Amino acid sequence: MAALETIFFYILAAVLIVCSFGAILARRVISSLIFALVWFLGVGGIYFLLNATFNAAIQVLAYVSALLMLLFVAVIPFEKEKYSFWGILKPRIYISALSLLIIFVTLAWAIVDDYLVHILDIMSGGFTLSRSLSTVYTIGERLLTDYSVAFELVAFVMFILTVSIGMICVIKQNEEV
Amino acid sequence: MSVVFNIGLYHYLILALVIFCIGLWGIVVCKNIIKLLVCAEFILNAAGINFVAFASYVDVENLSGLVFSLFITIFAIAELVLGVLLLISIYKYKRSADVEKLTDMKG
Amino acid sequence: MNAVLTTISEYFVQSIATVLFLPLWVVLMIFINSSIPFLASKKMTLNLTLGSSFLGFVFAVFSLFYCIKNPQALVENNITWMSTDFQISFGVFVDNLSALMLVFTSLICFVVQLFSFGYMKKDESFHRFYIYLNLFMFCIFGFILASNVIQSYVFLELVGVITYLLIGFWYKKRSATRAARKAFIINRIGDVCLLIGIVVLVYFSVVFNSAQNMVTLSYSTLQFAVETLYSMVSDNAYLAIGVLIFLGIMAKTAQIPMQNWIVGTIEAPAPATALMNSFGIVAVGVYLCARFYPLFILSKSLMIFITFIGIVTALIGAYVAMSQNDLRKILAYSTSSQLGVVLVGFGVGAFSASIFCFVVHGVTKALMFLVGGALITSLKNEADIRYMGACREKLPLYAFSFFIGAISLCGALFSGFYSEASLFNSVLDFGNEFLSFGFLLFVFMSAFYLFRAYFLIFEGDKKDDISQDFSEWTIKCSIVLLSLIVIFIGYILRGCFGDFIFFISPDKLNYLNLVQNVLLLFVVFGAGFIAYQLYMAQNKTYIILKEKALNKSNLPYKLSYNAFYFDKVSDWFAESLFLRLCRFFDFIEKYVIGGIFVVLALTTRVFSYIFSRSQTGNVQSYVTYSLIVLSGVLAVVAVLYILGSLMGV
Repeated sequence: MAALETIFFYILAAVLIVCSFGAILARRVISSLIFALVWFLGVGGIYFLLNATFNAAIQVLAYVSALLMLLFVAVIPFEKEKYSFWGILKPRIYISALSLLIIFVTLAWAIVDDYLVHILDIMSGGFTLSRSLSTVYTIGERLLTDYSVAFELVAFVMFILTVSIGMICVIKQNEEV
Repeated sequence: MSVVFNIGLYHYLILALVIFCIGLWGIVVCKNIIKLLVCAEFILNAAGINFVAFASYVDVENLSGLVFSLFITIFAIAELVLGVLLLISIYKYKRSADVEKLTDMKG
Repeated sequence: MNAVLTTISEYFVQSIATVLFLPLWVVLMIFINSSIPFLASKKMTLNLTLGSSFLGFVFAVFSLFYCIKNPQALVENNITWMSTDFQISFGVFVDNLSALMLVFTSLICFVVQLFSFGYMKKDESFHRFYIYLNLFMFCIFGFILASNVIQSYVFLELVGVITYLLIGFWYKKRSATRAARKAFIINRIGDVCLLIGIVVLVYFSVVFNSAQNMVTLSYSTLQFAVETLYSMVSDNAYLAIGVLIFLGIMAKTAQIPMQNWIVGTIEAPAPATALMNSFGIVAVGVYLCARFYPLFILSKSLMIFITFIGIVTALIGAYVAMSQNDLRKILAYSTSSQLGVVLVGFGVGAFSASIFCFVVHGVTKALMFLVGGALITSLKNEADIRYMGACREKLPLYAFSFFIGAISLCGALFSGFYSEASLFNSVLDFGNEFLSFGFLLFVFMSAFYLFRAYFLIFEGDKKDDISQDFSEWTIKCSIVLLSLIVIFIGYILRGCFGDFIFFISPDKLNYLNLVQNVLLLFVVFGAGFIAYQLYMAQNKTYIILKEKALNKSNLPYKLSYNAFYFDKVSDWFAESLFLRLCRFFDFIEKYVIGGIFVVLALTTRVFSYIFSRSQTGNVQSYVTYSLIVLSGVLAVVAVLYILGSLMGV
């Protein structure tokens, strides 16, 4: 049903926006991380709405479970940080807010301008959502045929990253000893 | 009204733009490094939403956008890990996670 | 014999440039000579210098001979210096006038150099003085032999420089340096006006000269160039050019607006003063006037102007000289007024009579300055004639030669008679009654102050016996030589000036008109008689009359004694107006123009401050800057798009 889609879209949009503001403006780091947790779940939901189920799964797996665990571990020493009240007066905050507002308005208008012209196309199905559930299959096909080089490269880079991080940790441990 | 109720490609695009701008503002505002990294994640994922939206609505046969969104996710995670490592080094040196204390390049 | 003489004179004329460069070589020799610590010989310096001036005299005499033999020919050798639209050359130009001037200049130089050996013997800067004398010879010969106007101007400025050096010779004396500076500056003002006139002349004569492919404004073609100019420009423009050139001549010959430098020449050593006042820088002015005569004669108003300036200067100079007490000042003011009379002659149209008058004046004034210098040194540097008296017994030679010079300068006997008589006749022929009366008044006043000087110095009661005899043979020899020249030169050359030195056509000098000559002699001896009564015989009546005339108000005497307060007026002018102007421009330069630079520097500092303050180490501020720029760019693009779509593009 189209109505369900609409409702879920707006709920998820609200969640995303609230959580991002929350993550930024939270006093303590831990609360900011909790907001981020909910935010990732929201993005997973958006992906699900777009029929990109595989991506949604990856989102939840990678970000929500593994990464936030890591961040929670790293955050423990900083729990005691407190922030000054007078930070609210920094002009940087307002200037950047204003410029971002301008950027947003301009780009949104750029997007929407097209939309207003093609509103009839939308109605008559100019861009329609794909309803296929076999996105996994298509993704796999893409990865291993068209984008196989990129796939290999990324894997290689990740490998090297892991190895170098491991090396650094081992060396540092050896130095301490 | 049909604009509000029949959501299409453009709604997702505008949502991604909003998230992007909020994340960028967060980068400018936040004092803590952890928060900075979290806002960087926001930005990257907003771009990912953009890609996935286009892939689902326009590029239905190839779905290249989904693939690219995967790549974005992978790199975002790697960058986050590196950011945390750097944070640990800095914390050992400066005993605080305050971005405003990192002004060695001043002047 | 005749052929031999002709060949020799031809050789001398062709190589007359030697006369020019010989003094420079002598300068080098003197410099080497004086640098050797113990063997520096004063006699060597004297001999070198006398040699160069005597050689100059020989060259000049032979050139004169050549010019007599070949009346219409003139010799001109030029080296082109640059040649574009106009051709600038340097060269020598020998015609009647320059040969004659060269003869007299080298003769007076010779005599003065002989005199200065005895005069400067005890001075520590003996060699430097002779170097200056030789440089002066180079400059003045270069000026006399100059072949075109531009070369004349170059040497004219050089003569000004050497005059400055000579006046300020004893540079440790404050008054000497001041006088030198004043002389140089006033001459410089005249030079600037002259330069403007010359430049305008060059501008207008380029047309004429490039058509004929000749040296710009060379004296051989000056007549034609000037006639072309006269046909090209309006009368007023021509008058302006003439006045500008004449202003330069006025400064050089100490005429009225620019005359107070001539008194400063007395700060120089006596031989240098003699040189300057006779055939020095004043000769430059008169010679230039003679050379530019074709230019002046075409404009009636200019001739009237010249005459007017001349007679005014003559009267004012003589009036001031009547009350001076310093012997040298009397002679200096006398120079100014005598040159005024020479310029009157030029203005009236009596070319040859004026040149004659000038030459005789030069010789006589040199004699008087030399005698005056020797006298003052003999009396232990006492220059005030009221404190000299009865010098005739102790110093008979000086008394005699001074008397000869005074009589000649008055125009009563010897050379001065011929020159003054011819000039007076020419003035009478001109016809203006005021001019003739002014001339007689001038003769009266000149005779008066000359006789007054003679009676106060050499006659009368003996003051304290403070004289010492300057028994140097060179001094006596030179004075005797010059006295002989003064006595005989007028008689010898009286015919020459009409037939030989003339403008366009020979005119006979008229000095034998009985009535005019008697009138002249009457005026001269009348003045002499009054002076005698006042200063020698101490006649009571005359003295009472004089007291009565002056006691009404002291004003005439004061005006005369202070030279019409001219120095004070020009000082006031410089102080109040000119210096204020200078300070104003200084202020503008410092704050307005300097302010521009200060503003530029401040801009740099402000911007550097802004940019260095913007380099906070904070990454977030850098991100903010880039966001500002990005939003600015996007806003501009959006606005332009809206405007474009609004205009229906």
